[in-house]
Amino acid sequence: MSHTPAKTSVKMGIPISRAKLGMWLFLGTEIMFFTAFIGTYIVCFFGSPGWPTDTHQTHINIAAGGINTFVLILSSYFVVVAHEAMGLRNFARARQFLIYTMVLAFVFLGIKSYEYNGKFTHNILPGKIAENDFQAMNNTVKAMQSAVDGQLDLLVAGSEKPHEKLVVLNKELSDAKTGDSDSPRNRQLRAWLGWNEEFARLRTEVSANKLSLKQVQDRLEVDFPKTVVVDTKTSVLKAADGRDLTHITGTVDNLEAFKAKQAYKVKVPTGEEVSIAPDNVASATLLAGVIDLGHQIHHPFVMPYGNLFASCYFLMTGFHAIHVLVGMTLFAVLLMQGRGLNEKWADFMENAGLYWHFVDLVWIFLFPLLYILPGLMSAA
Amino acid sequence: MSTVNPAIGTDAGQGHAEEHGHGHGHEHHGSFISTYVFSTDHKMIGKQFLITTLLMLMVGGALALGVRWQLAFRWEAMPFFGMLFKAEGGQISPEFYTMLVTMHASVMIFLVIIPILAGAFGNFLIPLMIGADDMAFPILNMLSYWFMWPAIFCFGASFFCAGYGAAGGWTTYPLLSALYEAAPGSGAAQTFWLFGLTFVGFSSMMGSINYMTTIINMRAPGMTLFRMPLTIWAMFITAILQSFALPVLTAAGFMLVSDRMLGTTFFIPGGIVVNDNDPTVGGGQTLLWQHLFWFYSHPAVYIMLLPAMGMVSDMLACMSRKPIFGYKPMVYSMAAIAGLGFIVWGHHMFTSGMNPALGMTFMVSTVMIALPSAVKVFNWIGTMWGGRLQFNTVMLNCIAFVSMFIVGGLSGIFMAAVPVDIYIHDTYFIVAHFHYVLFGATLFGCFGGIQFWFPKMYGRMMNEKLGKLHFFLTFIGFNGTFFPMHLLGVAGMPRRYADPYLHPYLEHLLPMNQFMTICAILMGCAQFILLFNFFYSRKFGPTCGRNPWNANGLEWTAPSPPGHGNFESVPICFRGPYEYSDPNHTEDFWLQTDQPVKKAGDNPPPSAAH
Amino acid sequence: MTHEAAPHDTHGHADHGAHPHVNYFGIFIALCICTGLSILFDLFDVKSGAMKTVVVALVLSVACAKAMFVLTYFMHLKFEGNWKFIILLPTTILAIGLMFALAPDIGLHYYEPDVPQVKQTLPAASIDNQDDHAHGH
Repeated sequence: MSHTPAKTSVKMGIPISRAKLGMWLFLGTEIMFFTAFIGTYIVCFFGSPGWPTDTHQTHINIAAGGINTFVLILSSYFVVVAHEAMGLRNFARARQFLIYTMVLAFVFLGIKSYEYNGKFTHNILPGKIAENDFQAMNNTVKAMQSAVDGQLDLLVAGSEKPHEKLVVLNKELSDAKTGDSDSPRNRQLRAWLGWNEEFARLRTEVSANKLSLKQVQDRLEVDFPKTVVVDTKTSVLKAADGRDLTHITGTVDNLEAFKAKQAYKVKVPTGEEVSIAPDNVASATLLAGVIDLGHQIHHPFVMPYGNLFASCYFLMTGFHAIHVLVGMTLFAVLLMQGRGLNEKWADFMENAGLYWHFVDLVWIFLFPLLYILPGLMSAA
Repeated sequence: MSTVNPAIGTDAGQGHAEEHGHGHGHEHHGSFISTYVFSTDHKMIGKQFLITTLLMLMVGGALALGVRWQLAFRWEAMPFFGMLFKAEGGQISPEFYTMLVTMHASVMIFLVIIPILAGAFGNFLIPLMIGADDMAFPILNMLSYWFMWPAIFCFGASFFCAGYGAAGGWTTYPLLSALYEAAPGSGAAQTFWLFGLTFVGFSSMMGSINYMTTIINMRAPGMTLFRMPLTIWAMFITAILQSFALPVLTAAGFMLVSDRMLGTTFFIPGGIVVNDNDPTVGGGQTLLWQHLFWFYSHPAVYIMLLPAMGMVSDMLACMSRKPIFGYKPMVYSMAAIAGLGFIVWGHHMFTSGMNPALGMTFMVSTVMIALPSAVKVFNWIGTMWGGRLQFNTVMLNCIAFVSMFIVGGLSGIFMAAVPVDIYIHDTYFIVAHFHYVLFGATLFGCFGGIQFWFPKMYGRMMNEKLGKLHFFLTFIGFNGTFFPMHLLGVAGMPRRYADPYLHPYLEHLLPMNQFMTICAILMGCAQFILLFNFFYSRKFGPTCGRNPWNANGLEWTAPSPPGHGNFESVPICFRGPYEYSDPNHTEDFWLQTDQPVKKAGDNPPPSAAH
Repeated sequence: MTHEAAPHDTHGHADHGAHPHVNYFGIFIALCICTGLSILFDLFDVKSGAMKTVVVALVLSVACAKAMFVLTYFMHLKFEGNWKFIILLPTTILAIGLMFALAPDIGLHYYEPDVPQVKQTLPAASIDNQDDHAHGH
């Protein structure tokens, strides 16, 4: 509109490079991206009475989170030092600090996967958590159903329906000669039948609403021992999930006897006692084979809003981890230049560094929100 | 300019270089792939976007005709298109109908309106209008086009999925979209649809970061912010809207996908029984999706409108031979629309069971949007007032834009008020409203824009007679189709019903629906005129010079079509883009690059110092 | 023009390290102390509601302080022009605003939510030990 000639510098706009401007704009969009997740988490936290905050229940590992915070901060420091070294044209030093950063990124992901692993083993997984007693019992029944069916598939090959296989199995048992009845195969078949019967009773009682969750839990403890794994190296008897099974498998004395390489008796679900020799790998395998069912059944627990908690936890940390991977890729590109790293890469270095600091920044907020604050809120 | 590549560059080089669409195995100078397919040149990418979106416009239109057919001639075999769904006996089943509605909206919004504005016009015009040689990130630009194709593929896969395509509406509200068992279209089709949405999101994201960077940092010397054409302002504000709103939808989309595939429960409450399945396990809230979705999708409404507003401002000023009325108020009102656009999303949710306190808040903020919108309308009218109006196709389309926007804007005020909205929500009134804005305003703006900038794209003029024919047929067809929808809505006819006449109180609306369908078919056929005009003129249209419209913008100082690098030398900008009919100038237009008349004591103009 | 624009570009960021030297290690130490503080807060056994609010606010402000350290020094925002506000302020406002806008619907309930999780807190009815799994082996 103005008629005055442009009294202007030749360059319009702001005095930063396009790449850096683009990166900052991109980081602005990234802020909004994580806002959606973090905002969702915060409002869901307040909108869900009884949100799981007990770290024993949620298996939130504050120490791991704290160490990861430290790891990311340290890596951010290394990045900024590497960037500074680039500016001073000390490319060897820059490379060195980039390698440190990469190592720390791997450490971060390692600790993260350790945490994830804890969640997986305790079944703190979105969609898998029972939020009331009924769902917990239902989950148990479902898990047992698939365990029993799966075992049947192992015993009787073929694609028939379970009830058809049951007929085959019964026929095989009744056809067996008396002398064979104690053969490993037949013992396995009978063990399975015992399981199946036990399971059918449980299922009927659960669906008839006759059992409380506590009763189901008790029954799983007493009547459905988890897999007994005989670790022939350490000669220790324990469940597949690591629980001590001495109360099921016998007295401590017996366990001591086992450790003392004496013959040892184990009660299996059929009610019979199986005697195994500790050094006998074959019978140990047999034992594991006979009662290899329970490991698929998790101890039933109820965690109201546990699914939403797990959803938020996994999506937020998961997308953060994806960002870590992207950042690592950027640094990998720099490191792949080897000795060819020169001032031409300064822009790239700066932008990769900005990205990495942003990843750090996200974690700086995720750490208190996920690890610290829920525990504090539940303290009172 | 020094870096013009003679092999591709100059007028002569491109005069005969036709674009052969996609996958047309025609070898050109051995660089067909790099020139036409994986081009990083903003003009080629813009043209790719334009042709793709025009084709998608026909697809979306065909889907809409399916919807209209069912509403007018229910359960009758559909002629011609019926072949495509023989399994149905050519009939449109209720599930197929909802799928048609969903896909029509998705295609039109995500594959036509947004990419034609930002992708096609944004790409083509931004560097030319600000005097840059290309976008800031050409490769990112290319990717933003090529991310459209996975999106098109995903939407197509959703369409042709076994069973039925996604049928949850373009808003994809959970639980319909979150549970596989909820409806025939909630299975894999819905997943494909969501992936399509994500790809469109990536494409828009890359585009908008590119546009912002380009506009901020690559303007020609002298092109101060307030010398930028309103098109650029509109594109800039659109890009800002997109980059701040879209990530939220992307995140929400990831949440919904993981609800479907990974078992998370963001949007799935516990204890819901769907189709005799076990009660759902979860603690999420369906309203959360609506909030996150509309947090993007309301700004998206302005993403679908603002660029057209900007382009129409430019075209109106040029065709009225008058400076735009109130340049700065135009800029500020666009910024205000964008800013307010972020805090009005709740007006889509008045009947969703949202907290009533929020309803009140959103009602007030929504009504406030009428203010900047009115400023713009009055300024357009003020621009035309007393001008020497050139009633060519461009102008006609622009006038249609303004008048249809007024109708759409006024019906919008009805819905902004909660009490009225509760009555007309999910009726055809709302369908009329958004078609008046999205088709009546945006698409007419685009039609005008195509006619206006076609000479710059291809160096040839589009046929004026065909353009006028297309305009009048479309305008009549459009109003015949959509104006009666206001009446249907007030009569209480709900949207998304495959057979509304099951309800006796709607039976008498059938003749009106049949009239609308005939108008819609007319309008659909009229678009072939546009396509013909487009492709015919590209080859046989009369060639033109640099500035066929005697317009002021920097783009008209470049050759038509511009060569690689756009300008022969860095253009220097001396004034705003709307100096038409200036009494101090001999001609009735004054190019932004024209040096001002020297007066004693003036500083010498800045040189580009090269 | 690409080539002509290039010199300006490089000029634009030729000032790598031109800003005053920052004691990055000091910043790093400050960040570590902040992290230690947040973990320390977790060990508090807060009883009263008011105290709880205070500690939560403290943890959040420590996080914000950390974020400011990273933004200001590691990301060099201290040495950038005013464009930083133009990019970051709207984003920040929108980010915080989104949470506040979601709160009335998702974070609070103006109605009694009818969900299994809430019912769970009520005493379970008609489940007693009628059949105390009397089945021996």
